Amino acid sequence: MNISTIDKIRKEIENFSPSTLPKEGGIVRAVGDGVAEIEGLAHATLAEMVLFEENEGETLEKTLNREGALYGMILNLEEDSARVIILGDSARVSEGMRASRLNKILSIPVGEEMIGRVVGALGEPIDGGSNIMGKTYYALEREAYGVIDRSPVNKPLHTGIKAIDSMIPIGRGQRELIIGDRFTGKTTIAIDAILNQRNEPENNRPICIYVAIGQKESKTARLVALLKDAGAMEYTIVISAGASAPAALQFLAPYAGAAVGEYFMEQGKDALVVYDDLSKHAVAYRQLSLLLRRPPGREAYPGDIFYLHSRLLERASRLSDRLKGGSLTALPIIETQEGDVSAYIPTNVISITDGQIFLDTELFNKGLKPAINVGISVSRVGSAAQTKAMKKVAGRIRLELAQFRELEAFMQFSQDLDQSTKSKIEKGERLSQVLNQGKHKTLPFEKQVVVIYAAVNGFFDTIPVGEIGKIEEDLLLYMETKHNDVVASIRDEKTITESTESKLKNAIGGFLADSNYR
Amino acid sequence: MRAIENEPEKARDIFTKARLYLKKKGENSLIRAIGENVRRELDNKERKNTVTVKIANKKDGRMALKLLSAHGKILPKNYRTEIMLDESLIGGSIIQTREHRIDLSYKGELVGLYRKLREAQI
Repeated sequence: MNISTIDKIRKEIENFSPSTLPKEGGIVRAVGDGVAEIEGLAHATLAEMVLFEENEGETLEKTLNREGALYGMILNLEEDSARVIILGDSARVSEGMRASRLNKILSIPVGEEMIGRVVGALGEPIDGGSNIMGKTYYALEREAYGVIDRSPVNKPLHTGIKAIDSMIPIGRGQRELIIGDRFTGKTTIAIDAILNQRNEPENNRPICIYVAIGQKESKTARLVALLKDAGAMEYTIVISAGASAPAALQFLAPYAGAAVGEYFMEQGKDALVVYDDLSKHAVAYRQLSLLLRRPPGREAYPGDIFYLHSRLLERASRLSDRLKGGSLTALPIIETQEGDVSAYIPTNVISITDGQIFLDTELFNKGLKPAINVGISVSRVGSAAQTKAMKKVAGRIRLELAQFRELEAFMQFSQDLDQSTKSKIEKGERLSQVLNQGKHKTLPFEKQVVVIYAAVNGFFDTIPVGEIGKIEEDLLLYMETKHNDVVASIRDEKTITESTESKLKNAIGGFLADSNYR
Repeated sequence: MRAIENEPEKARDIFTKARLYLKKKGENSLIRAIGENVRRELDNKERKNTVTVKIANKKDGRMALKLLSAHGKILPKNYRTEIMLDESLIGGSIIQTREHRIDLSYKGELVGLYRKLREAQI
C-alpha cells in the first residue's frame, strides 16, 4: 500500500461520521416465491428500494466478507405492511429479518463505461469483467418526456434489411414492434438492425441496447459472441435477465434498458433498444402480480398490464433541439401463438407502438427471409424519416408486393390467367426474390437503393427468378469496383439527382451487357 | 380487545358468552378462527409496542437506556423494553422498534466505514 492510499484512507476515516439518526424499516413476516411481506415501513413509497439486513447477529468478519447486498423493491403498500419483491435469491431472506428503507427509487448505474458490457437487470456485470462504477445513477421507472420536449421523428434508422428499409422504414425515436410466432426470425431482425449500425458513420451511430428477458442463457451467450465477432459490441450493451432469473429481475430488465438508453438520449446521442421479448415480460409481471395477490383479469394478467408496456414504450422519443436532440428508438418483440395477433398482449402492444413488422410462419417455411407479411406490417411514422433516395425507388414496391401476395394463390392456374395478371405475378416473384436476404447479411442503404432501383425499373425482368440473388451480389460488386462514385453520391446526398440517376441507369445497363445474364 | 388487555375477568366473561352463542347457532368452527385472530392481533400489538435494546456487554446497558429516553419521539406510547445481549456488536448498542432502528454499535460503525472506503474505490 503506497503513501497516497494510506492518506486517502486516513482522510476517509477523518471525514467519517456514523449516523445516529433513526433509520426507518420493518420486519419480514412472511416470505415465499420471491415476495416478502414486511411489517412496518409506515412511510415507504411505491417502487422504493429496501435493504435486507442479513448481518444481524453475525460477526464483523463474516459481515465484511459478505459479497453483494440483497435489495427489494416495494410493489404493494397495505395498511400495516408492504409487499416487496426480492431482487435476488429469496432463500437469503427469512422471517424476522429486518429490512431498511433506502429512501430512493430503484436505480442503476449508467454511462459510457457500460458500452461493450453484459450486465444484469440491476446493472451488475455478468460478463466476468470488472465492476461498473457508474458516477451517474438513473431511476428505472421515470416519467416519459412530454410533447413540448419532443421533436418529430424524421431521421432514419437503417436496419440494413431491404424489406424493412424500403417498405416499413423506421425512424429514430420510433417504437416499431416485431411480432410473430416462434422461429420466424424476430430476434434475427433486431440483431441485424444492431449489426447494421456498423455501416453508419461513427458520429451518427446509435448506441444499441439489447435486453434479453426470460431468454435461455445459451441463446444470449450466442448473440453476445455474434455481436463480438462482428465488432458490434463496441457500441452495444446487453442487459440480460435470463429464464432462470427471478421473475422480479425479468420484470425490471426492460426498464433498466430504457434507463440506460435515456442516458445516451439525454447526452444528445441516438440509442436503439431491443426488448426481447415483451411476452415473457408480461408473463413475469403476471407471476409477480399473482404472488402479490392482485386480482387477476383476462388471461390471468393484472389490470395494469397495458400500463406496464405503455409506460415503458412511451419513453422512446426524439428530443427537441433544446434538449440536445437525442433519440431513443424501441424495437419491442412479441411472440404470438399460431399467428394470433388478436390475443391480449399482442393487441395491447400493437396499439401502443408506432407500427409493426409481422413475421409469417408460412412465408418463413416457403424460404422467404425475412418472412415479413407486407399486408399487415406498417410503420406509422417512419415514412417521414425515410431518405429521399429510398422513397424514390421504393415507392411502388409495397403495393406491388401486396398485390402479388393476393394473386399468388392463382399461380397454379397460370395457364388460364390474362397477360396483366401474369406479368404482375412475375414481377411480384422477382421483387420477393430481391427482398430476400440472408441472416446477418445487412446492406448499407445506398446499396439497397441500387438493387431496388434495378429491380423496380425492369433491369431484372429477363433474369430467371432463381438467379436474382446471385445477380444482386455481382451487381453490387460491379458497382463498388467500377462505379463507386454513383454509390458514394447516393450515400452522401441521400437522394437520387437526375445526373446520378442517368449514371446509375448506364452503370446497371453496362453491368448487364458485360455479364452473362442477358 | 381493550377488555382483553385491561380487564381479563370481563374478557373471559365475553368470550364464554360468545362461545355459548355460537354453539347455540351451530357455528362451533368459528370459535377456533376467532381465537386465532384475537391471538394474532394481540401478538401484533405486542410487537408494535416492543422496543428492543441490543447491547454488546452489560457496561453499555446504562448508556443505551439514556439513549432510549433521548429518542422518545420514535418510541411507541406504552412501550415494553426488551434487552438483549449481542456480543457481535463489539461495543455500543442498537435500539429498534418495529418501524425504526438506531445503530450505535461499533460493528455498525466499522461496517459503515468499510462500505464508504469500498465506494471510494480505495
